Amino acid sequence: MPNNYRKLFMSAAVSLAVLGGVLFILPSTSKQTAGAASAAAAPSKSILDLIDHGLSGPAGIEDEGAYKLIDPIGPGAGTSVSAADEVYASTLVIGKYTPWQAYRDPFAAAPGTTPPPGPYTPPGPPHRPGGPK
Amino acid sequence: MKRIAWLFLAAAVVFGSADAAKAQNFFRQMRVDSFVGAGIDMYHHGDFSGALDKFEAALRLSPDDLQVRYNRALDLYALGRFQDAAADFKTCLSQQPDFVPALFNLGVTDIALNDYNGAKGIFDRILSDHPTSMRAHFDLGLSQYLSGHADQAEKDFAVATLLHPQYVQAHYDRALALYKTGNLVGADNEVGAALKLNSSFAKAYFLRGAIRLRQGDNTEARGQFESAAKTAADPVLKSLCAQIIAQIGV
Repeated sequence: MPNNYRKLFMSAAVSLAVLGGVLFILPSTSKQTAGAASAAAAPSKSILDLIDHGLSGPAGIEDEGAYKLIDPIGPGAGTSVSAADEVYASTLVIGKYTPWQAYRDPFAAAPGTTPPPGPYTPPGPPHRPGGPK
Repeated sequence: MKRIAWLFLAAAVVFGSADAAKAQNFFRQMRVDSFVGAGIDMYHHGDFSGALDKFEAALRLSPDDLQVRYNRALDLYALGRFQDAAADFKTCLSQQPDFVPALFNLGVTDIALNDYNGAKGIFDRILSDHPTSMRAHFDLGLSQYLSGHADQAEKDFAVATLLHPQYVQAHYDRALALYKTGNLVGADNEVGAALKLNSSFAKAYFLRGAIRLRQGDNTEARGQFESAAKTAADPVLKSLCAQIIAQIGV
């Protein structure tokens, strides 16, 4: 009989240990599963809406900058032929641009200098020291 | 003798007036060139209103000058007056149908006016004669993408990236088209190519964040959105990144 009590006690202890173990492990297992599920879950609708908003604009046309349009044609810029070549090129080409220089008055003073007083006189021959007086 | 003198006089008058007309044309063209040169200079410096005044002054002197009208159209586009720009490009083409730069720019203007079919027709026409035109492929891709044909757009952007592998924008647009078709792996490869060429391309980080999020990697997605926010100059994009990061909450 005492043996029976001992067996009963032992089996109850083992059962309690198993039950305790199960109760102890179960929450952490369920937490992991939930974590994995949340990682694999599809993003929420509001995030997708925000992303779609970020990607909804034109496909970067505003980032094209100088490549958006073929360049101007005329003084300081390219010719009709060079502009057509820009269209046909198999790589990106931008027309050459040189700042336009307006037609200059040949008698005007050089930039950054003050004109000499009095009427314009053409420059004379260079003065040579020791030359004819 | 008198007759000969009259003949001389008549010839002098004819040749004299011809020379006067030539001189007048010369000086008029000089003024037109001066206006156009100044207008182009202003255009390149971003003074589009000033440039418009110059081109219009040139057109008043020479109303049939195609180049002046073409330049005015570029300027009108820059000012956001797309209808007026398209009208000028069309006038250029009605007078000279093989004026290819005007044709190409009309295609770009059609995109701005949401006339994607018109744009596609133009770029297809250019490509039928010049199949290796990088810009025509790229802009045809844009027209396809914007008209909702991401699969077709992807093919055009792919050709553009093959023709000009250093064109970051073509890689980004191809990645975007692939993302829209659901090919996340392909999109990731292309966005990687774009970022390799330009490591501060905010929109590319944003797109990669979207890809990672769809792949279920929230931690990596958050990192990409943070990079996008850091490199973005556009306040709207920055704000979107901040909202997305807050919602991911890793």
